[in-house]
Amino acid sequence: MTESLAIADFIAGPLPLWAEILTAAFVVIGAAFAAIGSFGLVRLPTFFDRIHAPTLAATLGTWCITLATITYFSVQGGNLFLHALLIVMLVAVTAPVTTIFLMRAALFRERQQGESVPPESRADLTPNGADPS
Amino acid sequence: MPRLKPCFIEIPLQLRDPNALAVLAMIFCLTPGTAWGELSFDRSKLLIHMFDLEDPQPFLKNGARPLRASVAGDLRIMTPILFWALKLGLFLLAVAMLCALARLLIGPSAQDRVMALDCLYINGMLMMLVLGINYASNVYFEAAMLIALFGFVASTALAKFLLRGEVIE
Repeated sequence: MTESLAIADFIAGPLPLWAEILTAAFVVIGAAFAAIGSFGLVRLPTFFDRIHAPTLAATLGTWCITLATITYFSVQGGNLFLHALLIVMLVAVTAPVTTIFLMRAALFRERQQGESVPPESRADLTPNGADPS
Repeated sequence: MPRLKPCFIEIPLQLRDPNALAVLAMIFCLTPGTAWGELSFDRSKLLIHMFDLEDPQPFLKNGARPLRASVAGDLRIMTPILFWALKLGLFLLAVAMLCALARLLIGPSAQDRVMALDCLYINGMLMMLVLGINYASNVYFEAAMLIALFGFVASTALAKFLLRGEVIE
C-alpha cells in the first residue's frame, strides 16, 4: 500500500510553480553568495582579510543551495528529504578546523618573517592575563 | 526443473534514430533473457525473443507505452524560471571557481594558495548540488559529500604541513 502511494506522489515533469520559484531563488542566491565570497578572495589585500571571504560560500552559500535541494527533492518525491542537511553539518564541523589551522600556520609564518602581527601570547600568564605570582 | 516458456514478442517503437536503435539492440542482446529479432521496415515494430516469459500480456496490452527516446529528459522538464535559474547558478559557481583559481595562481604566500584550494572544493561541492537539482538525480548529493570530505582532509593536511613541516607527528 505504501509503495503505490509513494509512486503516485512522485512528480515527473515540472513541479508546482511555488516550488520551482523557491528552488530557483535559493539556487541563485546561494550561487551569488559563493561568487561574491570568491570575488572577495581575489580582491582583498592581505591574507587575514581574505580568510573571511570563503566563509560566505561555506555558510550562506551551502545553506541556500541545501535548502534548494531539500525543497526540490521533497516536493518531487512527496516526502520530506532532509539528507542534504548532512552536507551542511559536515561543512559546519570541518570548515572551522581548516580555518583555525590556516590561521595558526599564517601567524607562525608571518612571525617568522618578522611581519607586523601580534606576538605570541605569553605562556607564563594566567588566563586572565595576570602574572601567577 | 520448471518448464521454460520462450516466446516471440512484437513491441511497438517510437524510436527512429539509428544510433538509439543500435544501443537498444545492444541492451537487448547483451542481457540474457531477451534477444533482438527483427525490426520492421518502417521501424515501428520490433520482434524480440524472450527466453522465459510467464505472461506476455503486459507487453501487449493497449496501455503499454511504445519505447521512445526521452523528450528533453522526462524527469527534467521544468519551467523556464527554474531552467534559467539553474544555468545562472552554475555560471556564478563557475565564476567563483575561476576566482579561486586566480588566487591560487597569484597568492603571494603558500597559505593563500591553500585557502584558494579550500574555496575551490567548497565551490565544486556547491556545483555538484546544483547539478543534482538540474538532472533530478540523487547521485550528485553523494558526490558532493565525497568532495566535501576529501577536500577538508586535503586542506587540513596542507595547513598542518605549513604549520609544522609534517602532517602527522
